[in-house]
Amino acid sequence: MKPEVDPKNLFLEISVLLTGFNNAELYATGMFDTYYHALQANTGQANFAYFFEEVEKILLENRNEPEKINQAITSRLMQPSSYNGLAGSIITMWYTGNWGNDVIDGQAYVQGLVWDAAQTHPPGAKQPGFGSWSMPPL
Amino acid sequence: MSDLLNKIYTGSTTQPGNPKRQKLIKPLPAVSPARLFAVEGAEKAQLPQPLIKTLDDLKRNLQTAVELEHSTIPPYLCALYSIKEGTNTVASTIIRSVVVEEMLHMILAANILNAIGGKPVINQKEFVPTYPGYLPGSDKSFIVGLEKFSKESIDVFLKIEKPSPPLPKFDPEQAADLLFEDPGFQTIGQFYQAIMLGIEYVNENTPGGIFIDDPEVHKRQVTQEHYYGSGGMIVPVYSIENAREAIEEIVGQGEGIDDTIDDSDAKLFGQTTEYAHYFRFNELLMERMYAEDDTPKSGPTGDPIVVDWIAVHNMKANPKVEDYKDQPDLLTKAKEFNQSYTQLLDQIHKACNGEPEQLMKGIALMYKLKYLATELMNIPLGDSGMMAGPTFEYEP
Repeated sequence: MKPEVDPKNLFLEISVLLTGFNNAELYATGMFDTYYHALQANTGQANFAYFFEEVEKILLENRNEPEKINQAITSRLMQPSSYNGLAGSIITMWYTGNWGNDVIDGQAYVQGLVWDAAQTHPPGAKQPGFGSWSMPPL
Repeated sequence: MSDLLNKIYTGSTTQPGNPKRQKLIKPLPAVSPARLFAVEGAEKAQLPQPLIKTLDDLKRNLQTAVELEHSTIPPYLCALYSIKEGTNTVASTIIRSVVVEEMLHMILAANILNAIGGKPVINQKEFVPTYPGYLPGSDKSFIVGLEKFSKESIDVFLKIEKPSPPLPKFDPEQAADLLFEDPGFQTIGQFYQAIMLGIEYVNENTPGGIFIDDPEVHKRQVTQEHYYGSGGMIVPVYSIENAREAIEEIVGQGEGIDDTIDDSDAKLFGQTTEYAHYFRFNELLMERMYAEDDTPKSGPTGDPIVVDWIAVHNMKANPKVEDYKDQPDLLTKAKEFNQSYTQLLDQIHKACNGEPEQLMKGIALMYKLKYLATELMNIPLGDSGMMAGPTFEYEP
């Protein structure tokens, strides 16, 4: 069975739930399309389809019940054995810009969510400006 | 008479303080035309009166100058930040080089205002322009907006930086019309000509002059030590000579000799020359660099510039936070941008009102604004096919 919803939309929704960043923040990285393609390229067709079918079910069954959605994600997606650990790979992808040990894109390092999560910036990129270290955080 | 004026108006094609920088406007007269006519023996009663006649007029116009310089920055930044990461390197470099000079000009105008006892007002809602709109002090002949990088937006930038029409052939009556009685200015160069003439006039007619020789007033100047990141020379203003130097820096960087620029055969280009904004934008539009022997008339004939007009975020033109109300996460980000922008204006206000060291603190905010702006341009605006963008609205 094919998911009813465009998997790209499901990818956005599940990414929000898996990363804890809202959709504006995820789009803001400019990496959404790149990561979606990386996901497609690195996932077997069958696994990809089953995963998003499950995602769609979880979202539909628990509409407007964030607690239940989180529980369902934990029990049905987050086990390393579930869909070859795809949910974990998606989290790693958003936070580090890597798929496994492979760098996905030149921008991936700069745009990793890890920097925002740690409230810092990627060294060597996105510098906060000369002398900024002498001032209290904004 | 014309001999005397011609001596003053013609000279080298580079600026006196910087032989590398193209001097595209004729040097401002060392004395006002009114004085020159007097030198030639004209009756005083026939002399044209300058548009700017009082110290208050002058302060008001210099405040407008600060607003004018600032008003060009958001449009340039939108074009710059709409360029997709890693593409259009030349275009990005050119636009960025212009933006940093506009920032410099804003501070130079504030320095002049401070030197004559004025107080620049930068942290008010009224200071922030509404886009699309006219440039402050302009003759309202064209509209400026917040738009993505495109041929159309570069075309507007060329209008902003357009060279002044030449001074008429030094006919007092025509000069009076052009310089002293126009309700608005066709070009930025004209506006500064009027300001410079106003400075000369008011300074001459004020006992002791208008430049305040007081350490407390001098301390309000932003000097080179407070200014980071180049874009030209900061000129602290303590005297009329400094004011003239500051205005020449502003006008010289901006625009061309006069509106005969397209017809001029002057050889203005070369590897060692820093071109005025008008020509830098024109290189982009023509997708070609100026070569050594080019003239304004010939246009650029040098190496081609690769401009990828497609590698651009499809930012909605002139966005408002109101447009984002159905996308709360986006709205939050857009407001964060506006809060940072307003905070930056506040820092610059302080820097231009006695705390020049505050300018350094603005740098972190400028970087923050850059990152937030590029983030906004990556966020789709519903299903419109367009992207969000910074709205540059006042948000205290």
